[in-house]
Formats: sequence, structure tokens, C-alpha cells
Amino acid sequence: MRNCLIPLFCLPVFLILTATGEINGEVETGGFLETGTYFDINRGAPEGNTYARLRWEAKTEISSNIFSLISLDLRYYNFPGLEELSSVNEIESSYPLDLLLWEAYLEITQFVWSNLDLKVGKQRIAWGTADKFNPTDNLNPGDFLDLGGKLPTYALKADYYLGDYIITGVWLPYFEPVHLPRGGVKFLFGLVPDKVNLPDKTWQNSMFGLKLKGIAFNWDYSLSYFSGYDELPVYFVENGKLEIGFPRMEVIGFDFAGEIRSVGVWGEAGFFREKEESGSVPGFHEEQFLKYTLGMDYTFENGIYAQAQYVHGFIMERGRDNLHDYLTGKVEKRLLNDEITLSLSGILEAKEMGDIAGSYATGFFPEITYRPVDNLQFILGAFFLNGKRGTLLGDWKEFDQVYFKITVDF
Amino acid sequence: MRRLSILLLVVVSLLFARNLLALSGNAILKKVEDTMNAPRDRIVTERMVLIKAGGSEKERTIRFYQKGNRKRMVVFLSPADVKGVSFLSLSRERMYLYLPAFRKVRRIASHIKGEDFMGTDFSYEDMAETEYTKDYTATLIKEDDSQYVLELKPRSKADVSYSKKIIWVDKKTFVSTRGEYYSRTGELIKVIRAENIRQVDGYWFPMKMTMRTVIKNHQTILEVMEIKHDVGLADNFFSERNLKRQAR
Repeated sequence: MRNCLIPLFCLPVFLILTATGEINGEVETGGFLETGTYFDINRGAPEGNTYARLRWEAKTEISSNIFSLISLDLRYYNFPGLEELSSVNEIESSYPLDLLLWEAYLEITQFVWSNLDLKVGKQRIAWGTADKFNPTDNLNPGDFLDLGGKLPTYALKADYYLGDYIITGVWLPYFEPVHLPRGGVKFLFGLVPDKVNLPDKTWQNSMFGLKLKGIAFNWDYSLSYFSGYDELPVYFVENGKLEIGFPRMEVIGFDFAGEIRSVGVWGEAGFFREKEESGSVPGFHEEQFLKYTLGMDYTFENGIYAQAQYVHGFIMERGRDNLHDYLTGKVEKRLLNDEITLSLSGILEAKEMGDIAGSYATGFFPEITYRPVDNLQFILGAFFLNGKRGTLLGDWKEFDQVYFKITVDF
Repeated sequence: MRRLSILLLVVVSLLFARNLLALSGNAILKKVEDTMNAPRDRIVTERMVLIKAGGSEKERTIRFYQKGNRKRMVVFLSPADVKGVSFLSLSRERMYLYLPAFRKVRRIASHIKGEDFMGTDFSYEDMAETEYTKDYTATLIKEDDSQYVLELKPRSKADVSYSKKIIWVDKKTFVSTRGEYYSRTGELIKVIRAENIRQVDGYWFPMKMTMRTVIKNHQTILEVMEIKHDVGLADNFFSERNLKRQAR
């Protein structure tokens, strides 16, 4: 319910500002409607998982230096799993709808100084040069409904531009954990906690990040530092009850992007230091570990795009001894002037590099995207996972899926 | 005999002088480039129509910013599914793409240069290119009263996608009115036409351009809706900061 109140408050404020002429520019609206179904291959279509998502966005230039944007995200999950007649009355649980304030921010360019931009409000702050596996992208929590996606969070961001350099400072007043779909805690972690210990919303528990981005010898690079919390919970037992908490986390990051003989090359690394603080995760020992991604891509003369990445440490992995190694690949071909995109992605996981044969897992993800007309997109794809038990992908091998999505932009 | 010798000398001298006055292919190409890059900066809003072989059409609106020989920015204004997608080219090796859905600027390597730009018949290289003389040497292969025809061959170390270009240049304006682009295997792959060449703010510019991909018979038409010159775009306008700002 709290999730619904914030957008319901922000929307009228935006509309009142517009109606009273406080906003001088034209208000532009837009968004998308996406619906999809995931069919579980091993269990058959009746176990299918359907969702629908509506994103509505309004934005305007309040003045030449001030831009504002507000967007709402309405999500519907699953077919109702009604087993008893009495469940029909439980509208919210049977037909779960979530209304989220997705983004809501003011962006002030040339704030006080011509080189300074300020962005205040709920926003997405994307750091890192790698594709999807970004160890330095820790400012926004993950959005597991949209795998690989991130959830915008409240932040104050300042960018100072100095020639080819950008100095960024971010302050996040409070911590938000990873966003899971309903039932996701049990599904992903196997256990439902009795209690969730979120850090108190105090000044001391606020989070911040700093980044310096530059260019040297035609290579883009950045150095970053983040002090906050790990978005993924740690389980512990306290007074006989199962609880979760979130360890304090510092990340020193580095990334680069450039090219060697027309081949795109990038790398990104994060040195993580996680520790228990103020009793929120009793018994958690300090952990220090390095996650990194190295990648390259190339487009051949026949138009086939190929990408490869070496990933040390998946999104959900923490601790030096728990980081697996992954080799990801992607081949993509666009046909009929982007009307059709054929793509095949693959991933090879090695839990222990010394024993790849005994600790490997694989995943294949074919996908076809068809855009018959503007603003309309159909996607048909699948996940095929296999491998040894104890590997991240191997443990999910019963969850092979075929999915179908339709997206309409407006 | 002496008179004949003098007459012969005069004729030879005139012919020689004519050759001296005639422009070489490279000099014509330089003038084409200078014409294209004459304004200090330029902002063009264009209607873009993508036409399939069967005749069905898709329409986009783009805004194109240029400064000097190298700096280019293209922003898609419509339709909704591509609105905000923006491309920044600072040099052949430094290009960036902003995808608003991810709120992220991504560096793209030059291997993409020969690819269709967002499903159009223009490649990334076509959108960014204006330094003809750096990449190509030109030979004048034909000339009539109204136009030059040049054959462009890549310089030895030029990193370009085409093995040859033939361009038709209007003698009055030094605007290229037609071009044929050949693949590395020597096949004709694209034909570009420029029409309705007008002088706006003192600079010549084609109000309509059509790029056709020969094998697919797919074409992209660019029609100027609004054009501005010398508006004072600063060098740092062509930056990551502005790429995101123009795209919103």
C-alpha cells in the first residue's frame, strides 16, 4: 500500500503544477505497455507465468535549465491461483497489482556554475561499461521482475564537467533492497524469513558514491567509490527466528572502454568490502572480494554482431570463495532494416576453475524479435539451462522456459 | 614557317594553361567537403521516411547537429519506440550511443561503422562522414557543362567500408547530387541522390536526400523540415552531457 501512496501523492502535484501554469514548457507524455507469458517447459503450459506492465511517463522543461520527469509503473503478475471459493474475495492477493512511482526527479543544469548539473529525486544512475554484468553498478537495487534491470531510487546527484572529465557525486538518503516479485524470496532463497532487518533511515546509514570519468589515449575510463549496503540479504537465526539483514558494503570500482583495431573492448572491476555494522547482521564476518567483467564485441561484414564477456562473480554471488567464473557470448543478426532481430546468447559457468568438467553449467537463450510496424514489438524466446548441481545455472535446470512478449510504445 | 611555329606555341600554351586552370579531382573533392562544412555549425530537423521494396513506409523525425569536420550528433524525436535514441560522433574512433530505456551512454567501437544506422539505409559511417579528402583520393573521370564526375578510392590506411565511390558534383554549388557506393567486393550497394539544393543562410544544402540500398531496394528519404546555421554551438555541446540532455 505504501508503494501506491507515493505515486498517488506525486501525480496530483505534477498535474497541479501543470494546470496552474507553473510549468512553462509543453508536457510530453509517453510510455509502454508490455505483456508476456513464460511457459515452463518441464511442467507444461498450465504452470505458465503471465505478467503485464504499464509504464506512463510525463516530462516537461519547467524552464531552460530545469527539467522534470515523473513516471509510474503498474505491474500485474500471474494468473490467479484460486484453489478455494473464499479466495475470490481476496482481490489483492488473487489479482496482484503493484503501482510504483518509477522515476520522479528534477534536473537542474548549470546549477550555480555553468559546469554543474544537479538531479534530485527518484532516478536511475547507471555506472559501468560492461553489458549487464556490472560490478560497479551498485547505486540502484536490482529489479528481479525485469532480470538484469534496476529500480530507480531516491538520490541527489551532482555532475561537474571539466573538459573531458566528469566528476560525479551521489547521495542516497536511505537503502532499498533488491526488488523481488511476489513469492520471490522463497523462490530465490528457499526460505521465508520471520523478520526483515532494514537499516534505520538515519543520516549515518545513508549511502554515497563518487566517480571520476575521463579519457586517455582515446580510451574512456572511470574510477569510483561506493559506500552503502549490499542489496542482497544475509540470513541468520536470532532468538530461534529466521531473520535477514543487509551488510554494509564499500566498493572501489574501475572501468574502461575503447577499441583495438575496430574491436570494441571493455572491462569493469569492483573490489568489495562487506562487513556487519551496528548489529544488523549478527555473526556476519567481514568479506573482501573482487568481481570483474572483461568483454569485447565486433560486427562482421555480413552484419553479424558477436560479443563475448568473461565474468568473475555473478550478480547474486558474494565472498571470495563463492564467486564462480562465467563465459558469456552473444550472436545477433538484424534483418529487413531492423524489422527482425535474431539473437542467440549463451553462458558457460565454471564453479571451480580447477575442475571445470565436474562443476560446469550451461545456458542458451535464443530470441526472435519482430517489429512489424513502429511502436509494436513481439519477442519469442527461451531459456535452456543445464549443468552440475551446486552451480548457479545447474540448480535452475528444471526451470527451462519459453516466453512470449508484446510491447506497445506510445 | 616561323609564323606556324609561333601559332603552334600559342595553341600548346593555351592547352597547357587550360589544364593548369582545370581543377583536379582532389581539388573538386576538397571544395565539396568545404561546402559541406562551410557553416560554423548547423542544426537540421528532418523527416525520415523508410520505404520497403513493397512500398510500405515507416516515418521518423530526427534532429542532426554538426560542427566542423568531425563533431556530429543525431537525436531521434519520433516515433515513441525510438524517441530519445541518440548518437554522438566525435571522431571515427570515438562514438557513443544513448539508449533512454537504460538511461545509459554506451561507447560503440568503429566496427559498427558499416552497419545500418537504426534500420535506415544510412550507415553510421554515412551519418558521421564529412572528411572525404582524409579518407579518399579523387580522380575526375567525366565532366560536362553542369557537373563533375569523380571516382573516389580509399587512401591506403583509411578505415572505410566502401571500396569505391562515384560522385556527381554540381559545378555551381559544389554539392554532390548523386553518389554510387561500392562494397569491398566491387558491387554497387548503395545509391544516394540529393535534390532541391537551396542556399539557406548563405550555405548550399540539399533539402531532400534519398539513400537506396540496391540489393534490398529499400530506401530512406531525408527531407529538411527546419534548418539553422551558425547558431553558436560550443565545442562542448558535442558531449555525453548534452547527448543525454538533447535526448530527453
